[in-house]
Amino acid sequence: MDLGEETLTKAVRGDQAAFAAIVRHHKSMVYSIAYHFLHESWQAEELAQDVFLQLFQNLKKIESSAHLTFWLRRVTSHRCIDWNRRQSLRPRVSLEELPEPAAPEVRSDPLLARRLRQLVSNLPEKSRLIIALRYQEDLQLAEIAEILDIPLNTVKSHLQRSLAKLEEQLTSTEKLPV
Amino acid sequence: MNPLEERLIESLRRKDPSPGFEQKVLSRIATQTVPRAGLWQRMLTGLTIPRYRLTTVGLTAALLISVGVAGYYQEQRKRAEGEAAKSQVMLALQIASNRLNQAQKAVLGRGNRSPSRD
Repeated sequence: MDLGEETLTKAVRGDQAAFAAIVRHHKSMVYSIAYHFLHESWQAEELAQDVFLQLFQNLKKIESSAHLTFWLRRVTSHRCIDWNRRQSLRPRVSLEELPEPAAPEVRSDPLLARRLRQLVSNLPEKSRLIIALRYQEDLQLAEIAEILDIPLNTVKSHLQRSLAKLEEQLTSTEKLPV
Repeated sequence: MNPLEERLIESLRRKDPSPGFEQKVLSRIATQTVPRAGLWQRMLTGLTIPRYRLTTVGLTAALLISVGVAGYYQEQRKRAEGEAAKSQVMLALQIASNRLNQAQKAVLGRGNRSPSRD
């Protein structure tokens, strides 16, 4: 559900409460794209804050609430790629990358979901974003192409390759029927 | 949609950031946003000197005045010493000149007296 145009107009006029309402309405979308890309909550939260800060500075350029949603997805996606490139210059060990402690394997959905998110986080950056935008945001491939500034066929091929890779990894590591 | 895609939808559901997220964003905005000054304010800002710049100018001026005063007194002292030395030399020359005159007179006086004895 889109936020009302009135809230956007108020925010553009400098109404702080209206801007807070925009942040509240879109925070889970922005944060989740960043989280499913970066796979670390503190980084995703910092990136999401940066996105809303950028939004505040560019509020006058936003034409409608639909444009706002598009703008946020686009800026978040591009910031994710920039962030990843900056981070790749410094060595780091993520808690998420550390081996799981030895424990009897429980075949429950949360564990499987976590495993799948981990596999997604190991995909190349463009593929990771495409997967997040397709399955988290339920976007059409043409919309993803527009957000990421890449041809539609590139989106299709990335998606097909990613799904094939995920399926293969999931089958080989978890030995689950997919 | 195949089972993997269904699992992806299930796994990649939206989630909320930590509580107080909006507040963090708003406080970051508050710290990074500087209100734009009005036209008159901007014009007046050009005419006024910031406090830190005034302090720097004051300190520099005080330092330059101190150096100037010290230099002036040093010059005066050197000049006085020079004058004193000059006076001493003049006095010494005057004394030497007087003694020479006396000696010349004495020599001349003896010369005048000798022929009259013969």
